[in-house]
Amino acid sequence: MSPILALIKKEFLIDYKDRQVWMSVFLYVLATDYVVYQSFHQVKDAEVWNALLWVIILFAAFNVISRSYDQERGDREIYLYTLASPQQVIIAKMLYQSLFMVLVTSFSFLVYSFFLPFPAAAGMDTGLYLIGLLGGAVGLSTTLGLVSAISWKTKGGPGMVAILGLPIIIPMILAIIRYTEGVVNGMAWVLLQSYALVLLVLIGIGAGLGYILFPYIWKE
Amino acid sequence: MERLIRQSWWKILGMILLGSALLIALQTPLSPGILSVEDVSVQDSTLEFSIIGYNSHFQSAENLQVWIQDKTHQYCAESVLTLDDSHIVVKMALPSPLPSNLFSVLINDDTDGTLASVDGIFIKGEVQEEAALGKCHQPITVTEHDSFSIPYRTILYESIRNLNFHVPMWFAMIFLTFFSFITAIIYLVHGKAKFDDMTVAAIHVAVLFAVCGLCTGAFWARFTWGAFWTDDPQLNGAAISTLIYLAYFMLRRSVQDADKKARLSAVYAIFAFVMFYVFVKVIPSMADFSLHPDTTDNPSFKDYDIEGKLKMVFRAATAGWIMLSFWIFSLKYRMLSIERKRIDNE
Repeated sequence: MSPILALIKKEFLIDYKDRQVWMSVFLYVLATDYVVYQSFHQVKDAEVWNALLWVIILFAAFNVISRSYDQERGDREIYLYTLASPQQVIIAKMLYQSLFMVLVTSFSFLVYSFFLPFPAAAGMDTGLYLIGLLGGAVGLSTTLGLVSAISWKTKGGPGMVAILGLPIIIPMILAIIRYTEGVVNGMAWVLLQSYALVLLVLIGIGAGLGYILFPYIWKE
Repeated sequence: MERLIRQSWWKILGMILLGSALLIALQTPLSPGILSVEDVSVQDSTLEFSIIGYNSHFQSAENLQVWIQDKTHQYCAESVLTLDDSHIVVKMALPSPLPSNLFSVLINDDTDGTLASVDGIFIKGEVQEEAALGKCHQPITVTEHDSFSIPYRTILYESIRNLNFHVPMWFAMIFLTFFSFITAIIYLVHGKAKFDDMTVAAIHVAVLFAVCGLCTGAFWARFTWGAFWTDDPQLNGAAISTLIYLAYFMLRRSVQDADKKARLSAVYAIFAFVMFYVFVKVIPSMADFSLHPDTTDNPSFKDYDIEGKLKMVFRAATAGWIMLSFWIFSLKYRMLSIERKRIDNE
């Protein structure tokens, strides 16, 4: 088995054994969705509905990703150096976080549309919307991957991820919101292409820079 | 690099460029223009209105000629009463039948050249497009105002001078952030502490210039667009970059170990610069609209004749501001390296 797969399996097993991370994220999503439901009761405007969903997912992503290096402290951190190369570590982290974020995003979407039914929009392409959800989940986790590695090394806790990550994530979240807003408004794929391209470029840059720069920060 | 920082020729050159550019930009008068067309009244078949000019010479100029026009028709004024250099009252026959409701008001004289208030006058009445062409007693002449002056534009007015402050400040900021991006890469490759000092100094001064750019931009926006802050892609980029580099200083403060601090912040500086650059380059061209010139279909400063008379002044100001920012950077860098030597000696 290749080291990347082994590392992903390791991440999964640790999270499975200690389900506190999963529980806390899903609880966060449930609670936020309910708070949003209680404050709005019903959202008539499809654009507002869409933007609210992404704000919930954005903070869920911070919740998930600020914990992604929680396990690598003390002895485990040193043990990790002997296991794999830094490139393998960051790729495994990003892949695992992306998978996890896809789950969290789908869960948020389901719970959110359970409480606040989607306001009917004419001519929406469901497939394109699902692609948007998927791209958003992957984009959030790749862009925040390097930032969470930096804040892991500062030992500043989850607050540091928010301080460093929020300014950097704004372009990404804006691109996702514009794309999904376009889908909700029934825009054709030709018009959505530019947003999808920006999203892809940002994912590529986030993952590429993580791959290049992670070796410089992972060892003390 | 060290030698360049200690040399003084570029500092003197930069100050001469900046000083003369700003002096010209602030001292040169605006070219004459029409501020407004007021008191439009129609009595029987006479149209009467007054024109308020700006920096104009209605009284002293010779061969004053006033006419109104739409796309195909021109109608000349019959009597022009000059009150002073910037006020005239015009009487003319009402075009009948009206070819359109909206006319541009134009004035030509020997001193000011041709001044125009595009779609400056609205005349009520029924429109008949097949109206007869207007009559003029003497042929209409159109001339250019040729003395050196700053272009007169509605909405912008005197605030057009801010072009030599606001825009070059952002250029200087982008220059310094790009510089910090390069020094951060060199630091990661070579690991020499002086490149870390350079990155820190460059980002310090970049934040200073970002704040200056935000302030000059905010006042300009208040004057021209009506609000200090607007939802504009470029303002978005500006806000994000300022936040990113403030977060950079937070990151440095939260790490104690000097070497680790330098490495982590260099990685963040590189990552942040690339994300920011993609954002300001890609997103504005993707947005539906922008109030800033030159991004979407907006009229750019090229249309505002900046290409011509003021191009050199603007270029000198840009070069001057960039050199000033680099000078401040070099002072900050030297402070940091003295500090480092003091700590090393202790």
